[in-house]
Amino acid sequence: MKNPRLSIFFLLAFASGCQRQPPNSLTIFAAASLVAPVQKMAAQFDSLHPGRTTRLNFAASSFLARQIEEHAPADVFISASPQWTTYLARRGFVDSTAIVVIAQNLLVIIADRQLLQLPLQLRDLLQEKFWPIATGDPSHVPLGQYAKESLTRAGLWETISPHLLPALDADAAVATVERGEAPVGIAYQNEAVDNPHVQLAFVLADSLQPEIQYTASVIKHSRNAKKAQAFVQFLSSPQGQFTLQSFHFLPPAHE
Amino acid sequence: MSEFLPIILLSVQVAAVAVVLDAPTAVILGWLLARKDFPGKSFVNTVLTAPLVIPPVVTGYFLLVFLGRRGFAGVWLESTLGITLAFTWKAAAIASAVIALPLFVRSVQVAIAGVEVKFEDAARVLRQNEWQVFRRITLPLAWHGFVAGALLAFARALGEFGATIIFAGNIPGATQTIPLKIFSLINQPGGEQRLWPFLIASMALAFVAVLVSEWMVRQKSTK
Repeated sequence: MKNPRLSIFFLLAFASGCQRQPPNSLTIFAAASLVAPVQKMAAQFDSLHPGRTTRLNFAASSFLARQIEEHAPADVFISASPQWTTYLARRGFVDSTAIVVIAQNLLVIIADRQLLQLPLQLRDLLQEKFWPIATGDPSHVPLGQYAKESLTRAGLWETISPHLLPALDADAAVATVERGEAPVGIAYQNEAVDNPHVQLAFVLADSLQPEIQYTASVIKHSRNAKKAQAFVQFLSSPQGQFTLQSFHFLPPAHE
Repeated sequence: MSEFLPIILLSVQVAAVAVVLDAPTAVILGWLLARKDFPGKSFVNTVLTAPLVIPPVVTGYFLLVFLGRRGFAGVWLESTLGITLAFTWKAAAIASAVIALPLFVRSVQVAIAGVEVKFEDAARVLRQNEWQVFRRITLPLAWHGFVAGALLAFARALGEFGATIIFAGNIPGATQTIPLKIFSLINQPGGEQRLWPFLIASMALAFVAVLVSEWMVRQKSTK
């Protein structure tokens, strides 16, 4: 580079880009259906531990698992499905004995706010007027995998799957219905209750509910393993549980 | 491998339709910009270049807001013609067409600008009307640039991702073109083994399209 000032500028720009994250910060990778409660719990956690900042990254659990597998700087992984936590455990990214179930959820059918006639049972989704049906991408997004499980159990998967509108994550599926691009969607209960932008058509019958478990784990390559562990414990603490349940998650089953 | 061919064919279909959608606009605008002075020309130039530099997700969002089921034009299309565009392969073609249009127009514009005006004037002296001038003089001398532009637009359309995922979604068998499939496989744990055929196909298609496009441009200049 001919101009020395310019090269110094680029050097500085590069160096500032390389700056490590503040040593005290904690990076949480969480399932997209957890945006509201995890934001709140992170704020609560920060206020309990002054000087600490938590950074949040939300996406489908499968995307997050892939990012962690590529050594993304995550300290805690909260997955909407034990499958992706186990996936990371098998590859040595989390300790399989330290996976904590923090909440459960239910599948519901949501509908466009402007829809006058709502579906009343899963079988109603065979009607063309309810197509396309928004949900998570069944090939990897937990919401989609749970939806596939329920539809398969109801004997409807083969007929309904061509009419699904697969979204990138649970939040995106709800947004598709909110925007009116899909008349109905298969979503998590927590995202449908108290959501003024969609109608809750019905909660799936118990016999069709998959076991939806949210798991939290500390990532082995975390630079803040102790603090990460404290955050995972906070999720199970009475305050963490109260927050999760105030956002309509169910408590983990006692075994 | 059974998933491979349908995705390639869909991508080619989407990109080809995008090019066909673009062609009339590209030729008319390219000719206007190369040959005519009109008020607001620099504005047209700017608007035309915009899709090249605006983040494709933004373009995709505006397409969704405009042509989606709740969009101004989308509501009208659905109520009068019974057509829904959003989240169908047609949406993928429209998104690709909008993104690829600037490349097509520029190639046509450059090609037409390269045709010497004196040839066109000579035809005018021979009492040819403007359409005849275009068809008998401009088009034969500039068609390499038209084909090169179409190929560039085709290559760009094949690679379209940002606007497509917003306006057409990522629906296997309907709107999942090569780049969207690659995106899904990259993000899918364990999806990497199936990635290579798509990576190679996308690079090969783009490479061939640009190669032929370059060759077309050179054909013309050596004439």
